[in-house]
Amino acid sequence: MRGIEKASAFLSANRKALLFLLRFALIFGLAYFVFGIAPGIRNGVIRPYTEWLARAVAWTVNLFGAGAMAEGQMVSSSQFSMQIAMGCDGVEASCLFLAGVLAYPTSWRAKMIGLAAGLPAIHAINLARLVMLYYAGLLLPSVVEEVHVYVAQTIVILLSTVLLLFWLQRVAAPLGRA
Amino acid sequence: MKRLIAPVLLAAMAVASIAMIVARSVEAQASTIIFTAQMLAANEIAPVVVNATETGANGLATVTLDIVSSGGTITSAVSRFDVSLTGLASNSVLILAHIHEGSAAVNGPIRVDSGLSPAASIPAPGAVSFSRSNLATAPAVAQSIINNPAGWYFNVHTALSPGGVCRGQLVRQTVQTLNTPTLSEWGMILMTLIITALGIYFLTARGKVELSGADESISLTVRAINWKLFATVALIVEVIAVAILVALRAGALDTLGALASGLIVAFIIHLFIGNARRH
Repeated sequence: MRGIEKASAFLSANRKALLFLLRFALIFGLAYFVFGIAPGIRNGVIRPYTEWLARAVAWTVNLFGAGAMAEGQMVSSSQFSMQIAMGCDGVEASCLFLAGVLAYPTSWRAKMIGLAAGLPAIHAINLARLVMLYYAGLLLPSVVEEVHVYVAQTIVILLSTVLLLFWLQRVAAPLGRA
Repeated sequence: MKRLIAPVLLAAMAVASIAMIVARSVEAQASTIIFTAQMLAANEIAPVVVNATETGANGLATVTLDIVSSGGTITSAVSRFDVSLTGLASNSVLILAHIHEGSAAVNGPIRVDSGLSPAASIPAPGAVSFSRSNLATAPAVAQSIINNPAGWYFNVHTALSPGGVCRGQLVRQTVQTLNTPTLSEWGMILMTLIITALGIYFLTARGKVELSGADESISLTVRAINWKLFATVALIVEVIAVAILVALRAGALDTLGALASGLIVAFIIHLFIGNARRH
Protein backbone atom coordinates (compact mmCIF):
# COMPACT_ATOMS: atom_id res chain seq x y z
CA MET A 1 0.00 0.00 0.00
CA ARG A 2 2.77 2.35 0.98
CA GLY A 3 4.63 1.36 -2.18
CA ILE A 4 1.67 2.30 -4.35
CA GLU A 5 1.40 5.63 -2.58
CA LYS A 6 5.09 6.28 -3.13
CA ALA A 7 4.83 5.36 -6.82
CA SER A 8 1.80 7.56 -7.18
CA ALA A 9 3.62 10.45 -5.51
CA PHE A 10 6.64 9.91 -7.77
CA LEU A 11 4.48 9.92 -10.89
CA SER A 12 2.59 12.95 -9.70
CA ALA A 13 5.78 14.89 -8.93
CA ASN A 14 7.32 14.03 -12.31
CA ARG A 15 4.11 14.18 -14.30
CA LYS A 16 5.24 17.04 -16.56
CA ALA A 17 8.60 15.46 -17.29
CA LEU A 18 7.14 12.01 -17.94
CA LEU A 19 4.54 13.48 -20.28
CA PHE A 20 7.35 15.32 -22.06
CA LEU A 21 9.18 12.00 -22.49
CA LEU A 22 6.08 10.27 -23.80
CA ARG A 23 5.28 13.10 -26.23
CA PHE A 24 8.93 13.19 -27.34
CA ALA A 25 8.97 9.45 -28.09
CA LEU A 26 5.68 9.62 -30.00
CA ILE A 27 6.54 12.70 -32.04
CA PHE A 28 10.03 11.45 -32.83
CA GLY A 29 8.68 8.03 -33.85
CA LEU A 30 6.11 9.64 -36.12
CA ALA A 31 8.53 12.19 -37.63
CA TYR A 32 11.20 9.55 -38.21
CA PHE A 33 8.68 7.23 -39.83
CA VAL A 34 7.51 10.00 -42.16
CA PHE A 35 10.91 11.46 -43.10
CA GLY A 36 13.25 8.55 -42.40
CA ILE A 37 11.39 5.41 -43.37
CA ALA A 38 8.28 6.02 -45.52
CA PRO A 39 9.51 5.07 -49.02
CA GLY A 40 7.40 7.68 -50.85
CA ILE A 41 8.93 10.59 -48.96
CA ARG A 42 12.40 9.02 -48.87
CA ASN A 43 12.46 8.67 -52.64
CA GLY A 44 10.31 11.66 -53.55
CA VAL A 45 11.67 14.28 -51.16
CA ILE A 46 14.77 13.18 -49.28
CA ARG A 47 16.63 11.65 -52.21
CA PRO A 48 16.27 14.81 -54.36
CA TYR A 49 17.33 16.76 -51.28
CA THR A 50 20.53 14.71 -50.97
CA GLU A 51 21.20 15.39 -54.65
CA TRP A 52 20.68 19.08 -53.99
CA LEU A 53 23.10 18.78 -51.05
CA ALA A 54 25.69 17.24 -53.39
CA ARG A 55 25.31 20.17 -55.77
CA ALA A 56 25.50 22.64 -52.86
CA VAL A 57 28.71 21.01 -51.57
CA ALA A 58 30.26 21.05 -55.07
CA TRP A 59 29.23 24.68 -55.57
CA THR A 60 30.66 25.70 -52.20
CA VAL A 61 34.00 23.93 -52.57
CA ASN A 62 34.31 25.17 -56.15
CA LEU A 63 34.16 28.74 -54.82
CA PHE A 64 37.67 27.98 -53.56
CA GLY A 65 38.80 26.20 -56.72
CA ALA A 66 38.35 22.55 -55.71
CA GLY A 67 37.33 21.48 -59.21
CA ALA A 68 34.61 19.21 -57.88
CA MET A 69 31.65 17.90 -59.83
CA ALA A 70 28.26 16.74 -58.55
CA GLU A 71 26.48 13.89 -60.24
CA GLY A 72 23.44 12.52 -58.47
CA GLN A 73 24.45 12.04 -54.85
CA MET A 74 28.18 11.99 -55.64
CA VAL A 75 30.56 14.88 -55.25
CA SER A 76 33.82 13.98 -56.91
CA SER A 77 37.09 15.34 -58.10
CA SER A 78 40.23 13.65 -59.36
CA GLN A 79 41.48 13.15 -55.79
CA PHE A 80 38.43 12.40 -53.70
CA SER A 81 34.79 11.51 -54.01
CA MET A 82 32.06 11.62 -51.44
CA GLN A 83 28.58 10.16 -51.57
CA ILE A 84 25.78 12.02 -49.86
CA ALA A 85 23.46 9.05 -49.50
CA MET A 86 20.28 8.64 -47.50
CA GLY A 87 21.23 9.17 -43.86
CA CYS A 88 23.64 11.98 -44.69
CA ASP A 89 20.72 14.35 -44.93
CA GLY A 90 20.38 15.54 -41.33
CA VAL A 91 16.95 13.91 -41.05
CA GLU A 92 17.66 12.18 -37.72
CA ALA A 93 19.01 15.34 -36.09
CA SER A 94 16.06 17.35 -37.44
CA CYS A 95 13.51 14.79 -36.18
CA LEU A 96 15.10 14.79 -32.72
CA PHE A 97 15.13 18.58 -32.58
CA LEU A 98 11.56 18.77 -33.85
CA ALA A 99 10.40 16.22 -31.25
CA GLY A 100 12.23 18.09 -28.48
CA VAL A 101 10.61 21.41 -29.42
CA LEU A 102 7.09 20.08 -30.02
CA ALA A 103 7.10 17.88 -26.91
CA TYR A 104 8.14 20.66 -24.56
CA PRO A 105 5.15 22.24 -22.80
CA THR A 106 5.23 25.85 -23.94
CA SER A 107 3.19 28.14 -26.19
CA TRP A 108 2.68 27.31 -29.87
CA ARG A 109 4.29 30.63 -30.74
CA ALA A 110 7.47 29.55 -28.97
CA LYS A 111 7.37 26.18 -30.71
CA MET A 112 6.96 27.76 -34.14
CA ILE A 113 9.86 30.13 -33.47
CA GLY A 114 11.97 27.15 -32.41
CA LEU A 115 11.19 25.14 -35.51
CA ALA A 116 11.46 28.07 -37.93
CA ALA A 117 14.91 28.99 -36.65
CA GLY A 118 16.21 25.60 -35.51
CA LEU A 119 15.49 23.31 -38.45
CA PRO A 120 17.13 25.50 -41.13
CA ALA A 121 20.06 26.00 -38.73
CA ILE A 122 20.49 22.22 -38.33
CA HIS A 123 20.52 21.76 -42.10
CA ALA A 124 23.02 24.60 -42.47
CA ILE A 125 25.19 22.85 -39.87
CA ASN A 126 24.87 19.61 -41.85
CA LEU A 127 25.87 21.35 -45.08
CA ALA A 128 28.88 22.89 -43.32
CA ARG A 129 29.74 19.41 -42.01
CA LEU A 130 29.67 17.96 -45.54
CA VAL A 131 31.89 20.75 -46.88
CA MET A 132 34.29 20.20 -43.98
CA LEU A 133 34.35 16.46 -44.69
CA TYR A 134 35.06 17.08 -48.36
CA TYR A 135 38.08 19.18 -47.46
CA ALA A 136 39.12 16.59 -44.88
CA GLY A 137 39.00 13.97 -47.66
CA LEU A 138 41.08 16.17 -49.95
CA LEU A 139 43.65 17.36 -47.43
CA LEU A 140 43.69 14.65 -44.73
CA PRO A 141 42.65 11.45 -46.51
CA SER A 142 44.30 9.21 -43.90
CA VAL A 143 42.12 10.51 -41.07
CA VAL A 144 38.92 11.41 -42.91
CA GLU A 145 37.02 8.47 -41.40
CA GLU A 146 37.96 9.56 -37.88
CA VAL A 147 37.07 13.17 -38.65
CA HIS A 148 33.72 11.92 -39.91
CA VAL A 149 32.90 9.55 -37.03
CA TYR A 150 34.19 11.56 -34.09
CA VAL A 151 34.63 15.24 -34.95
CA ALA A 152 31.81 15.95 -37.41
CA GLN A 153 29.17 14.04 -35.44
CA THR A 154 30.18 15.67 -32.20
CA ILE A 155 29.90 19.09 -33.80
CA VAL A 156 26.41 18.30 -35.13
CA ILE A 157 25.24 16.98 -31.74
CA LEU A 158 26.76 19.86 -29.77
CA LEU A 159 25.49 22.61 -32.05
CA SER A 160 22.00 21.09 -32.21
CA THR A 161 22.00 20.82 -28.43
CA VAL A 162 23.15 24.42 -28.06
CA LEU A 163 20.30 25.48 -30.36
CA LEU A 164 17.77 23.63 -28.21
CA LEU A 165 19.31 24.97 -25.01
CA PHE A 166 19.14 28.52 -26.37
CA TRP A 167 15.52 28.00 -27.37
CA LEU A 168 14.58 26.53 -23.97
CA GLN A 169 16.29 29.35 -22.11
CA ARG A 170 15.40 32.36 -24.23
CA VAL A 171 12.16 31.45 -26.00
CA ALA A 172 10.33 28.47 -24.51
CA ALA A 173 10.59 29.46 -20.86
CA PRO A 174 9.67 33.17 -21.23
CA LEU A 175 6.88 32.61 -23.76
CA GLY A 176 5.64 29.58 -21.80
CA ARG A 177 5.14 31.81 -18.77
CA ALA A 178 3.48 34.59 -20.78
CA MET B 1 9.33 0.54 -7.85
CA LYS B 2 9.35 4.28 -8.45
CA ARG B 3 13.04 4.21 -9.28
CA LEU B 4 12.34 1.80 -12.10
CA ILE B 5 9.95 4.01 -14.02
CA ALA B 6 12.47 6.42 -15.48
CA PRO B 7 15.01 3.78 -16.50
CA VAL B 8 12.28 1.64 -18.05
CA LEU B 9 10.96 4.60 -20.03
CA LEU B 10 14.44 5.53 -21.20
CA ALA B 11 15.24 1.94 -22.07
CA ALA B 12 12.02 1.75 -24.11
CA MET B 13 13.03 4.89 -25.96
CA ALA B 14 16.52 3.60 -26.58
CA VAL B 15 15.13 0.29 -27.85
CA ALA B 16 12.71 2.16 -30.12
CA SER B 17 15.55 4.27 -31.52
CA ILE B 18 17.75 1.24 -32.12
CA ALA B 19 14.88 -0.66 -33.72
CA MET B 20 14.30 2.20 -36.12
CA ILE B 21 17.98 2.41 -36.96
CA VAL B 22 18.09 -1.33 -37.59
CA ALA B 23 14.96 -1.07 -39.72
CA ARG B 24 16.64 1.67 -41.68
CA SER B 25 19.84 -0.30 -42.13
CA VAL B 26 17.98 -3.04 -44.01
CA GLU B 27 16.10 -0.63 -46.27
CA ALA B 28 17.33 0.00 -49.79
CA GLN B 29 20.65 1.82 -49.91
CA ALA B 30 22.14 3.38 -53.02
CA SER B 31 25.83 3.55 -53.71
CA THR B 32 28.18 4.19 -56.58
CA ILE B 33 31.30 2.26 -57.50
CA ILE B 34 33.69 3.36 -60.21
CA PHE B 35 35.91 1.14 -62.37
CA THR B 36 38.34 1.99 -65.11
CA ALA B 37 39.81 -0.04 -67.95
CA GLN B 38 43.05 0.91 -69.72
CA MET B 39 42.43 -0.38 -73.24
CA LEU B 40 45.03 -1.40 -75.83
CA ALA B 41 44.73 -3.00 -79.26
CA ALA B 42 47.48 -5.38 -78.18
CA ASN B 43 45.19 -6.74 -75.47
CA GLU B 44 42.85 -8.34 -78.01
CA ILE B 45 42.99 -12.14 -77.93
CA ALA B 46 43.00 -14.45 -80.99
CA PRO B 47 40.95 -15.22 -82.96
CA VAL B 48 40.14 -11.50 -82.77
CA VAL B 49 42.26 -9.62 -85.28
CA VAL B 50 42.75 -5.85 -85.19
CA ASN B 51 42.82 -4.16 -88.55
CA ALA B 52 46.35 -3.07 -89.52
CA THR B 53 45.30 0.61 -89.62
CA GLU B 54 44.06 0.45 -85.99
CA THR B 55 46.81 -1.39 -84.15
CA GLY B 56 47.75 1.79 -82.28
CA ALA B 57 44.28 2.08 -80.76
CA ASN B 58 44.19 2.73 -77.05
CA GLY B 59 41.97 4.48 -74.55
CA LEU B 60 40.32 4.69 -71.18
CA ALA B 61 36.87 3.46 -70.22
CA THR B 62 35.33 4.62 -66.96
CA VAL B 63 32.47 2.45 -65.77
CA THR B 64 30.25 3.96 -63.07
CA LEU B 65 28.07 1.36 -61.42
CA ASP B 66 25.06 2.72 -59.52
CA ILE B 67 23.66 -0.01 -57.32
CA VAL B 68 20.75 -0.26 -54.93
CA SER B 69 21.15 -2.90 -52.24
CA SER B 70 18.96 -4.20 -49.48
CA GLY B 71 20.25 -6.28 -46.61
CA GLY B 72 23.61 -6.64 -48.34
CA THR B 73 22.14 -7.94 -51.61
CA ILE B 74 22.11 -5.88 -54.80
CA THR B 75 18.52 -5.46 -55.97
CA SER B 76 19.08 -3.24 -59.01
CA ALA B 77 21.99 -1.73 -60.92
CA VAL B 78 22.64 0.59 -63.83
CA SER B 79 25.93 1.44 -65.51
CA ARG B 80 27.39 4.49 -67.13
CA PHE B 81 30.22 4.32 -69.66
CA ASP B 82 32.62 7.22 -70.31
CA VAL B 83 35.04 6.20 -73.05
CA SER B 84 37.88 8.04 -74.76
CA LEU B 85 39.95 6.50 -77.55
CA THR B 86 42.93 7.53 -79.65
CA GLY B 87 45.20 5.86 -82.20
CA LEU B 88 42.31 4.96 -84.48
CA ALA B 89 42.35 5.17 -88.26
CA SER B 90 41.03 8.24 -90.06
CA ASN B 91 38.05 6.23 -91.29
CA SER B 92 37.32 4.34 -88.04
CA VAL B 93 33.71 4.04 -86.92
CA LEU B 94 32.70 2.69 -83.51
CA ILE B 95 29.96 0.12 -83.87
CA LEU B 96 29.89 -1.69 -80.51
CA ALA B 97 31.16 -1.33 -76.93
CA HIS B 98 30.53 -3.73 -74.06
CA ILE B 99 31.61 -5.13 -70.76
CA HIS B 100 32.50 -8.79 -71.26
CA GLU B 101 32.94 -11.48 -68.66
CA GLY B 102 36.40 -12.96 -68.88
CA SER B 103 39.99 -12.73 -67.76
CA ALA B 104 42.74 -11.04 -69.79
CA ALA B 105 43.50 -14.34 -71.55
CA VAL B 106 40.05 -15.20 -72.95
CA ASN B 107 37.27 -13.82 -75.10
CA GLY B 108 34.14 -13.87 -72.98
CA PRO B 109 30.43 -13.24 -73.43
CA ILE B 110 28.85 -9.76 -73.44
CA ARG B 111 27.21 -8.84 -70.13
CA VAL B 112 26.61 -5.06 -70.28
CA ASP B 113 25.86 -3.39 -73.60
CA SER B 114 26.52 0.29 -74.38
CA GLY B 115 23.64 0.47 -76.87
CA LEU B 116 25.99 1.24 -79.76
CA SER B 117 25.23 -0.71 -82.93
CA PRO B 118 26.21 -0.64 -86.58
CA ALA B 119 22.99 1.28 -87.16
CA ALA B 120 23.77 3.71 -84.33
CA SER B 121 27.53 4.03 -84.84
CA ILE B 122 29.93 6.82 -83.89
CA PRO B 123 32.47 8.17 -86.41
CA ALA B 124 35.94 8.09 -84.83
CA PRO B 125 38.47 9.71 -87.14
CA GLY B 126 41.68 9.12 -85.18
CA ALA B 127 40.18 9.81 -81.76
CA VAL B 128 36.78 9.97 -80.11
CA SER B 129 35.04 10.27 -76.74
CA PHE B 130 31.54 9.16 -75.92
CA SER B 131 29.31 8.48 -72.92
CA ARG B 132 26.29 6.27 -72.36
CA SER B 133 24.22 6.22 -69.19
CA ASN B 134 21.37 4.24 -67.60
CA LEU B 135 22.63 1.01 -69.13
CA ALA B 136 20.75 -2.06 -67.91
CA THR B 137 22.93 -4.19 -65.66
CA ALA B 138 21.78 -7.42 -64.05
CA PRO B 139 22.22 -7.37 -60.25
CA ALA B 140 24.17 -10.66 -60.39
CA VAL B 141 26.52 -9.16 -62.99
CA ALA B 142 27.02 -6.04 -60.86
CA GLN B 143 27.79 -8.17 -57.83
CA SER B 144 30.25 -10.29 -59.79
CA ILE B 145 32.04 -7.21 -61.18
CA ILE B 146 32.34 -5.80 -57.67
CA ASN B 147 33.62 -9.10 -56.29
CA ASN B 148 36.22 -9.63 -59.00
CA PRO B 149 36.71 -6.74 -61.45
CA ALA B 150 39.76 -8.44 -62.96
CA GLY B 151 37.42 -11.13 -64.30
CA TRP B 152 35.72 -8.56 -66.55
CA TYR B 153 36.93 -6.47 -69.48
CA PHE B 154 35.78 -3.54 -71.58
CA ASN B 155 35.94 -4.00 -75.32
CA VAL B 156 35.33 -1.52 -78.14
CA HIS B 157 34.59 -2.66 -81.68
CA THR B 158 34.93 -0.73 -84.94
CA ALA B 159 33.71 -1.42 -88.44
CA LEU B 160 37.30 -2.13 -89.45
CA SER B 161 37.90 -4.41 -86.43
CA PRO B 162 34.47 -5.90 -85.70
CA GLY B 163 35.87 -8.50 -83.29
CA GLY B 164 37.39 -5.72 -81.15
CA VAL B 165 39.77 -2.81 -81.65
CA CYS B 166 41.06 -2.48 -78.08
CA ARG B 167 40.22 -3.90 -74.68
CA GLY B 168 41.24 -3.72 -71.03
CA GLN B 169 40.40 -5.41 -67.73
CA LEU B 170 38.31 -3.52 -65.20
CA VAL B 171 40.06 -2.05 -62.16
CA ARG B 172 38.17 -0.65 -59.21
CA GLN B 173 39.00 3.03 -58.87
CA THR B 174 41.25 3.72 -55.94
CA VAL B 175 39.95 7.23 -55.32
CA GLN B 176 38.65 7.24 -51.76
CA THR B 177 34.89 7.49 -51.59
CA LEU B 178 33.31 8.52 -48.32
CA ASN B 179 29.77 7.84 -47.24
CA THR B 180 28.74 10.51 -44.77
CA PRO B 181 25.84 9.70 -42.43
CA THR B 182 24.98 12.67 -40.20
CA LEU B 183 24.67 10.57 -37.05
CA SER B 184 25.84 7.05 -36.29
CA GLU B 185 23.82 4.71 -34.06
CA TRP B 186 25.58 5.96 -30.93
CA GLY B 187 25.39 9.54 -32.17
CA MET B 188 21.65 9.24 -32.50
CA ILE B 189 21.24 7.61 -29.09
CA LEU B 190 23.41 10.28 -27.46
CA MET B 191 21.55 13.12 -29.13
CA THR B 192 18.21 11.58 -28.10
CA LEU B 193 19.38 11.35 -24.50
CA ILE B 194 20.85 14.86 -24.44
CA ILE B 195 17.67 16.43 -25.82
CA THR B 196 15.45 14.55 -23.36
CA ALA B 197 17.82 15.40 -20.51
CA LEU B 198 17.65 19.09 -21.42
CA GLY B 199 13.85 19.05 -21.58
CA ILE B 200 13.53 17.22 -18.26
CA TYR B 201 16.09 19.52 -16.63
CA PHE B 202 14.10 22.59 -17.64
CA LEU B 203 10.86 20.98 -16.46
CA THR B 204 12.02 19.62 -13.12
CA ALA B 205 14.98 21.57 -11.88
CA ARG B 206 14.34 25.16 -12.78
CA GLY B 207 11.01 25.90 -11.14
CA LYS B 208 10.30 27.91 -8.03
CA VAL B 209 8.72 26.65 -4.83
CA GLU B 210 6.17 28.97 -3.26
CA LEU B 211 5.87 28.83 0.51
CA SER B 212 2.84 30.65 1.85
CA GLY B 213 2.34 31.69 5.45
CA ALA B 214 -0.50 33.52 7.16
CA ASP B 215 0.87 36.95 6.40
CA GLU B 216 3.48 36.50 3.72
CA SER B 217 4.76 34.14 1.08
CA ILE B 218 8.34 33.47 -0.01
CA SER B 219 9.67 32.01 -3.20
CA LEU B 220 12.73 29.73 -3.30
CA THR B 221 14.54 28.83 -6.49
CA VAL B 222 14.99 25.09 -6.79
CA ARG B 223 18.59 23.88 -6.68
CA ALA B 224 19.22 22.51 -10.12
CA ILE B 225 21.62 19.62 -9.63
CA ASN B 226 22.23 17.48 -6.57
CA TRP B 227 25.80 16.44 -7.27
CA LYS B 228 25.92 13.83 -4.52
CA LEU B 229 22.79 12.11 -5.78
CA PHE B 230 24.00 12.38 -9.37
CA ALA B 231 27.35 10.79 -8.46
CA THR B 232 25.59 7.92 -6.69
CA VAL B 233 23.19 7.23 -9.56
CA ALA B 234 25.99 7.59 -12.13
CA LEU B 235 28.10 5.08 -10.24
CA ILE B 236 25.29 2.51 -10.22
CA VAL B 237 24.39 3.03 -13.89
CA GLU B 238 28.00 2.92 -15.07
CA VAL B 239 28.74 -0.24 -13.08
CA ILE B 240 25.74 -1.92 -14.73
CA ALA B 241 26.87 -0.63 -18.13
CA VAL B 242 30.42 -1.92 -17.61
CA ALA B 243 29.07 -5.34 -16.57
CA ILE B 244 26.99 -5.54 -19.73
CA LEU B 245 29.88 -4.31 -21.90
CA VAL B 246 32.22 -6.92 -20.43
CA ALA B 247 29.62 -9.65 -20.92
CA LEU B 248 29.14 -8.60 -24.56
CA ARG B 249 32.88 -8.11 -25.15
CA ALA B 250 32.11 -4.72 -26.63
CA GLY B 251 34.59 -2.79 -28.76
CA ALA B 252 36.07 0.62 -28.01
CA LEU B 253 33.39 2.61 -29.85
CA ASP B 254 30.51 0.76 -28.16
CA THR B 255 32.20 1.16 -24.78
CA LEU B 256 32.62 4.88 -25.29
CA GLY B 257 29.02 5.26 -26.50
CA ALA B 258 27.54 3.16 -23.70
CA LEU B 259 29.47 4.92 -20.94
CA ALA B 260 28.61 8.38 -22.28
CA SER B 261 24.96 7.35 -22.64
CA GLY B 262 25.01 5.89 -19.11
CA LEU B 263 26.16 9.21 -17.73
CA ILE B 264 23.26 11.05 -19.37
CA VAL B 265 20.76 8.39 -18.29
CA ALA B 266 22.08 8.77 -14.73
CA PHE B 267 21.62 12.53 -14.97
CA ILE B 268 17.99 12.07 -16.06
CA ILE B 269 17.27 9.54 -13.30
CA HIS B 270 18.81 11.88 -10.75
CA LEU B 271 16.55 14.70 -11.96
CA PHE B 272 13.49 12.48 -11.50
CA ILE B 273 14.52 11.36 -8.02
CA GLY B 274 15.48 14.88 -6.95
CA ASN B 275 12.18 16.27 -8.18
CA ALA B 276 10.17 13.56 -6.39
CA ARG B 277 12.06 14.25 -3.16
CA ARG B 278 11.36 17.97 -3.37
CA HIS B 279 7.65 17.30 -3.68
